[in-house]
Amino acid sequence: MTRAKRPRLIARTELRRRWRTMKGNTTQLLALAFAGVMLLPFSVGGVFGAYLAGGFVAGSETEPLIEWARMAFVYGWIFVAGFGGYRAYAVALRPDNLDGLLTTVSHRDVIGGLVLTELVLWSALFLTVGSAATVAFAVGAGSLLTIPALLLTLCLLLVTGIPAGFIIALGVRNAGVRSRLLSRLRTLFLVLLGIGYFALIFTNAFASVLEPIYRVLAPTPIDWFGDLAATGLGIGASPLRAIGAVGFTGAFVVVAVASLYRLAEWLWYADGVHITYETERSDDGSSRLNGLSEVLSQPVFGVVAVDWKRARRSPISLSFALYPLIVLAGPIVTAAQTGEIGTRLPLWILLSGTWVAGSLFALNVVGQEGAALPVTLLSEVPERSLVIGHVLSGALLIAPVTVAATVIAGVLSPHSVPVVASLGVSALVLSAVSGAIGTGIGVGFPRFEAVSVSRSRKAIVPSAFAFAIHSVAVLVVALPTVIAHSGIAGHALASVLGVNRLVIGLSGTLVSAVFACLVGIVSMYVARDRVRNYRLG
Amino acid sequence: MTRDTDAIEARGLTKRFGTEIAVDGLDLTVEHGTVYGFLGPNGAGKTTTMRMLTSLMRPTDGEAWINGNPVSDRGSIRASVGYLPEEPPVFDELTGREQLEYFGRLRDLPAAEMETRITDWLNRFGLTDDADKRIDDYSKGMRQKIGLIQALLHEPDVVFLDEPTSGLDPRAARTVLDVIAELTDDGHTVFLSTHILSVVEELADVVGVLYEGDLVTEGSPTELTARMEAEEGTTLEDVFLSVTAERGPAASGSAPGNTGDATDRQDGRIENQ
Repeated sequence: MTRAKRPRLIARTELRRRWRTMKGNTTQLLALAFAGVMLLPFSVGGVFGAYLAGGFVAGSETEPLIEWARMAFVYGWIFVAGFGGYRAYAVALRPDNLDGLLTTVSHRDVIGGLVLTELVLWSALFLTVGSAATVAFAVGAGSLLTIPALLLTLCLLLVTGIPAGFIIALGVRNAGVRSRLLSRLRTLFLVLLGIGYFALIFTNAFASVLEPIYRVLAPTPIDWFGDLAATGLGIGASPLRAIGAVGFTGAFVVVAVASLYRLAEWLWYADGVHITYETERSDDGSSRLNGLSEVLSQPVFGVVAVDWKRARRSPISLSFALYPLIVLAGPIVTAAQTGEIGTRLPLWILLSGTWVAGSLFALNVVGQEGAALPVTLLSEVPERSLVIGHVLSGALLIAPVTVAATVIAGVLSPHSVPVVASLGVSALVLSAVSGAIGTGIGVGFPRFEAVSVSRSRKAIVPSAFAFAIHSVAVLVVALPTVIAHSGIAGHALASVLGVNRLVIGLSGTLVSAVFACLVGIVSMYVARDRVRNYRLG
Repeated sequence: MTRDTDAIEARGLTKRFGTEIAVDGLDLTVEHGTVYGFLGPNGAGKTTTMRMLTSLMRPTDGEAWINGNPVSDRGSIRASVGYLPEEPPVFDELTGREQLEYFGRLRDLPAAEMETRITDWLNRFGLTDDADKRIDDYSKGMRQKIGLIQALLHEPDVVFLDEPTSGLDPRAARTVLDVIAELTDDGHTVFLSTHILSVVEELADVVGVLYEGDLVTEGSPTELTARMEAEEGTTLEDVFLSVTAERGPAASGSAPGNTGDATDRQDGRIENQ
C-alpha cells in the first residue's frame, strides 16, 4: 500500500465507524435530525441572504466592501480553526484503538487520516450549504467568475483552518501530558473554561474575545482570502493578494504537515506525567463522615460515603448537574445587569436545587453501580441501602445549599420575610424529597453503559428518559409553590380569594410538600421493589 | 422451601434468550467443602449458569438451591454466597481499601471486624502498600485481587469464582489457589469457572464441562482422564478438547484428543463407565 493510501484508509474507516456508531444510537440520530430541521431555515435563509448580498455588491463599488469581505473571511477562518481545534481536542485526537493504529502504521499516517476525516466531515456541511450560497451570491451579483473564486476560497479556508485547529489542539494536549500542574488541575481548567464559555454566551461578549484575535490575524495572509473570494466582483479586490492567498495556502500546508507530524509524534510517544492519587486515611473525609456513621445504618452510610467520595474525586462525572445553569443563567445575568433581584430568581433557584438534589445520585440507582452491581445485589438488603443511601447523598449535600440560596435570593427580592420563610420551607421539603422521587424513575429507565463526559473520562450518567421524566415530575410537584410565590399569580390569587398573600404562599408550600412526599413515597416503593427483584438478564 | 441437602443443587436449570438456549436443563450437585471446576469454551453458558446459581439471573425453567435455600429467594442465600464476577466489581475513584470497606458495610459487617479482615486480606494478597491508592491506578491483577477479597470478606459458605486467576501473575495466582484450597479445608464450597485447566486439575474435586448450554461431562479429574485411557498420557485438556469438539467447528478430527472413541453419544456426552 502506498503511503498516501493509508491516511485515506484510516479516514474511510473512521467515517464508517462513526456512522455505524451513530446509526446505532437513536438519541444521537434524533438529535442530529432535530439539528438538521433547526438549521434548515437558517441554511435556506443564508442562501437567500447570499443572493441579496450579491445584488447589493453588484450595485456598489465602494472601498469598504472589500474590507468587509476580508474581515468576513478572517472571522470565517477563526471559526473553522476554533471549532476544528475544539473537535480535534475533544474527539478526533482520541480515536478508538489508537495503540493498535500506532503499532500498525506510522504516526504520520494516523494524524493524516484523522485530519482527512475532519476535512471530509467539515466539507460535507461547509461545501453543500456553501456551494448553494456561492451560486446564489454569484447570481445575485451577476458574476459567474465569482462561483469558482468563492468555492476555491472556501476550500482553502478549510485546508488551512482545520490543520491550524489540529496544531492548536495538539499543542494544548502536549502541554497537558507534560505539565504536572496542568494534569493535576485539568478538571478545574475544564470547569473554568465551561463557565467562561457560558458566561460569553449569556453576556453576548463573544465579540470582545474575537476582536483581539481578528486584530492579530488581519495583518497576516489570512486577510488575503477576502480578495480571492471577491475576484471578479469589481469591488477593489487585489489580484496580487488573491494569488498570494493560493500561494500562502500551499506554503501553510507544507509547514502544517511538518508541524502536525512532529506534534503528533511528541504527543503519542510522550513519557507523560503520571499522577498517582494516594489518599491519606486521615484525609479521606472520614472524620467528616464519622458523625453520619453514628446516625445511619452501616450499609446506608457506606452508600453515602462512597457517593460523596466518588463525587469529590471525579466531579466531571456529575457535570450533568450543571444543566440547570442553562435556565438559571438568564435570571442571574439579568439580576447582575439591573442590580435587582426579582421575585422569580428565588423560584428558579428552588427549582434548580430540587432538580440537582434528585438527579445527582438517585436517578440511576441500579445503573450507576456499574461493574459492582452483581456484588451489590448480593449484599444485605441492597434495596434499602441503595435507595435510602442515594436519596440521602443528594439531599444532605444539596438541600442546605438550595435552602440557603433560595432564602438569600428571597430576602434580596421584593418578597416579604414571611413569604420568604414559606419559600424556604418549600425549598427544604422539595430538595430533600427530590431524590426519593428520582429513585423510582431511575430504576424504570436505567442506563448501564458509560458515556463520555470529557475527552478522557467516561461515566455512567442517568438516561435521557430519566432526566426528562424527573424534570417533569419536579416541575409538577413544585408547581403549587411556584404559582403561590410568583409575584403576579400569587397576588392575583390573594385578591381573588380575599386572603393574605402569606396564606397563599403557605398553601402552595403545603400542597407541594404533601404532593412531593406522596410521589416520593410511591417512587421509593417502586425503586425498592425493583432493586429487590432485580435480575441481570 | 429449605432443603437440607448439598451446597449447590440445580435441577433442569434452563435459560433462553429469545430463541437462543444459553443453558439447557442443567442438573448438578456440589457437595459441601468441595471445589467444583466448571469448564467450557467461550460462550458455553458458564457465566449465565453462575448468575442463575447466585440469583442474579432468573432461570427460564428449573430451580436451584444454595445450602437448601432456593435461589429464587435471593434474601435466603445472600449471606451464604460470595461472588467474583468476570469483570472486577470496583469503582475507579475509590482506593482499594475504600472499595472493600464499601462492600463490607453493604454486608453489614461490624466495623472493627471488617477492618481486621480487610487488613488481613490486603496483607495476604500483597496489597497493603497500594491499599490507599486509587483503583484507577491499579493493574488488572490488582483489581482482580480486590474483587476476590470482596467475595471472601463476609466468609460465605459458598463462593462462586468466575476466572479468579485472570490477569494475575504466577505468584498471585498461586496465592489464589492456596486460598481456595484453604477455603475447602475450612468446609467452604467453591464453584470455580476457569479456562486454565491446570487450575481445575489441581484443585477440583469434581469437574463439569459445559458446552453450548449442555453439561456434556462430569466427574473427578481422575475419572475423566481415566475414561480416555486409550490415549497415552491423557490429560484434562484432552478430555476438554474431546468433549467440546464433537459439535464444534473443529470437529474435523484434527483437534488433539478428538478420538471419537471417548464420546459415544450424539450430544457429546461421555457415558459414565
